[in-house]
Amino acid sequence: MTTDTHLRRGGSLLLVDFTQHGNSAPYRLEGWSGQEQAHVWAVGEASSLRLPAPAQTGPLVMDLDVATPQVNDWSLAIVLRVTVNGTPIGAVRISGPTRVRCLIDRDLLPPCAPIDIRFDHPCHARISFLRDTPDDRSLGACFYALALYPPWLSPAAAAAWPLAEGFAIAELESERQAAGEPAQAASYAFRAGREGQALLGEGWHFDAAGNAWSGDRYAQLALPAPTRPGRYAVRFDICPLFVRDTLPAQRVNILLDGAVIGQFKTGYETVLCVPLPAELADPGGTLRFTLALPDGLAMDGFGGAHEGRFLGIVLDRVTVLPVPDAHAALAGLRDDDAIPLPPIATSARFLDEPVEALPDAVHQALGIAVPDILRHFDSLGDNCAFGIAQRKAGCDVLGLLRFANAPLPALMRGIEDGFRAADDKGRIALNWVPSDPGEFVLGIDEYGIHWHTDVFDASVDAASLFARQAVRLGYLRRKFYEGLAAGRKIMTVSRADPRKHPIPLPQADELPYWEEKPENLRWAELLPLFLGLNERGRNTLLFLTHCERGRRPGTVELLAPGVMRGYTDSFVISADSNVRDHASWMRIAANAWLLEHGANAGFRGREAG
Amino acid sequence: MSLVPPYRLLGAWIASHQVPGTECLRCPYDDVIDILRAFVTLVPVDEAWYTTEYSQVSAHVAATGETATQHFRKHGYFEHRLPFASGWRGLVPPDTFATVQKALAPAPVRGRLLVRIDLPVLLGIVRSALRFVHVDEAWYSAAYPWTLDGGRFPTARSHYINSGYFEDCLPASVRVDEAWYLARYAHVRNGLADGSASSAKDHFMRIGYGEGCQPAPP
Repeated sequence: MTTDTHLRRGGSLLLVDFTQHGNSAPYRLEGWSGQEQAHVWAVGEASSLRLPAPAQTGPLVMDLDVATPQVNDWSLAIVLRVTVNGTPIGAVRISGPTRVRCLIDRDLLPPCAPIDIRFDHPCHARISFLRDTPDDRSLGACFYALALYPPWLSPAAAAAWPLAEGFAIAELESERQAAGEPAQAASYAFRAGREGQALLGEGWHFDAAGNAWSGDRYAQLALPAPTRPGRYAVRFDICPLFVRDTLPAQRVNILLDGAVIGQFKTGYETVLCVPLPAELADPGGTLRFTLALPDGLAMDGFGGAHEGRFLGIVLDRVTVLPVPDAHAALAGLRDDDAIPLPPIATSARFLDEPVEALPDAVHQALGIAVPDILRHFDSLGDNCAFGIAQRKAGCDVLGLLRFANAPLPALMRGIEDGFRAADDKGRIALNWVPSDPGEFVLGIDEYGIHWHTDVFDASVDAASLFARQAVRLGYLRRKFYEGLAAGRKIMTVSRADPRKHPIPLPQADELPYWEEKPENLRWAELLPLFLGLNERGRNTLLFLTHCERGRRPGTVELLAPGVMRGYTDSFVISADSNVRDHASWMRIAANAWLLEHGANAGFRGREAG
Repeated sequence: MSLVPPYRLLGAWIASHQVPGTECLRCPYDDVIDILRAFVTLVPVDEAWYTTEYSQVSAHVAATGETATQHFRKHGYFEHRLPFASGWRGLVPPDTFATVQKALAPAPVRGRLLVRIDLPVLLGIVRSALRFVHVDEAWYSAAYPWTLDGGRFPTARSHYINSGYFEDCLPASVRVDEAWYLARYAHVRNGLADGSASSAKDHFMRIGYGEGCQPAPP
């Protein structure tokens, strides 16, 4: 009889209880915080469970009681993606206590095999970025309980495990697949009178110059969602308020439909590019963004008792960018200041050899000389350090930006314009800069990029010098784009130059400004650059940062196919060939070369040659 | 002795931030703070009163080893605290930071907080701070004999506060660390070599103060 059959299937219901006296500990693998009284937090990008093999074959129902992080008295939304034994089974957006229900197909449950369940929570949030709290965890989802049972046991399960008060019920939805080409990029500028102004919701005001300032701790904007499903990122061009002693950097949280998609702390004019979770973007719908800016300042704290305004950031532009299929792996990378992106590979060789012994050590180990390794690199700035290191290591190659001063926003302007100005004498200027020593400097002011000419004699004929330098710049531009099309080089970029702030009453013989150590670059600032560099060929981008999180100078991490992060202890390098201070650059180059060309580097499918 | 920043530097800063054709300055808020910080060093602090009046400061001072004077100059003034009770040493407390703030009108631009302030107001703040400068009447009158001409200023102090500071006069003789000064400033060594100054002190008193040189190590 059926009933007898069912009765023989004892153990069909598995209940994982995440409370203090529950049984979840032995099932939890990675991505969990400590046990709390009534729950366990899943933290970071993902968490996983390994559950015992089911008592019989067949599909299973999974009921998952979870909640989302709280900020003061409101709940964040999250996206929860579920993968069973390596196969994604769906995702759901939730915003508060919810019982997530789904059916696990029998094909995903091999007999007598444990069940590996991975939960991705891409909208994890570090609450300390949203309000002042000592809790520094990046919270994904709050787990209360999980039940697995065969569908025929649903009535019994419902009776034995009723829905707790305040819990909603949500079903997993299958993942939205990209169909055909994604929509074109859509860009909205927010200065007064521009097309984006009508898209700004509550919490904005304009200054006298027409800049759109966030005027509250929460500022809203609503943009049209892409019309077609696909992989997208959203680029925010922002300029935060900087007040040296009071607000050197501020927390910038980007929320979409109530879910955190990026968390940063910056005092720089920059771009912040964050993945657009497909679950939060209905094709043809509306993207409802909130910028949460807890550090913004009320102006009446600075004077003018009548001044009721509040200032956080200037929002210049928002762009919804399609991410081509070729870079699909990059579309979901969230590398922000709440939780840095973990590498998929790290190369940390040659870190201990003294600078004199490095070339031989690298040559012996890799079978290639350091100058030949360095020939694979093309510096994009922001200063000449990498170019000088190449020269000191015996490698002189032509490079458009090798000896240029090109801050990231300036570099982006150049890339977006295809550096056409470098081929147009009317857009180039040559100026004598009377520093010590004075030098003729070539510049394209519309980008904000300047090139050394290494001409230190003010008496040379400026017109003929300009003619020679302009021709050379045009040639370097063509070589640059030929190199990008060939896709043979590793492009390096750094933020090495300190930010300079004027001193009002400088003492004699002192610089009239003080220098602020630059913020480390983040991937979120570089995705648009990467996409620009890869329009014509497959190129690798290596971005350099000061050492952090215990990384030693010279270490290089592979963050995703085509993206590396290198660590240095100092961006300062002397042009004096007798000063051997280029060791960390050689180490970085050797380790990046290993990740790009070493024995295990074939995963990217790069075509030979 | 705390040295007031020379007006030559302050005047250059004013000139670079004055809105053309007006008596108004438009300048970074951070600059105003730096300038106030430079002038706050002139204000004496009643250490005992300060730590008694502000109990949190007392704890901070005990924990960090900072003096009450250092605390006032770094933080206390900007936290709207007073340096002493009215009447201490016959002095009237300086205008508080809150008073200064009322004179500022925020005018933010991209990325920076600029403020507007009327030049007479700023100069009033400067003069208010100059009240705390010790002026050596005899030395001042001897060094700048024209200052008492006509009886417009009854005392050297009065002249210094209202006029002398703005002409880069010094309020008193300053001790100059000759060896340090010469080691610190190459152009002074050159000046001594070409005869434009007879000593480090001579250079400082006539030229160096106005250039922003320091007479001794901090």
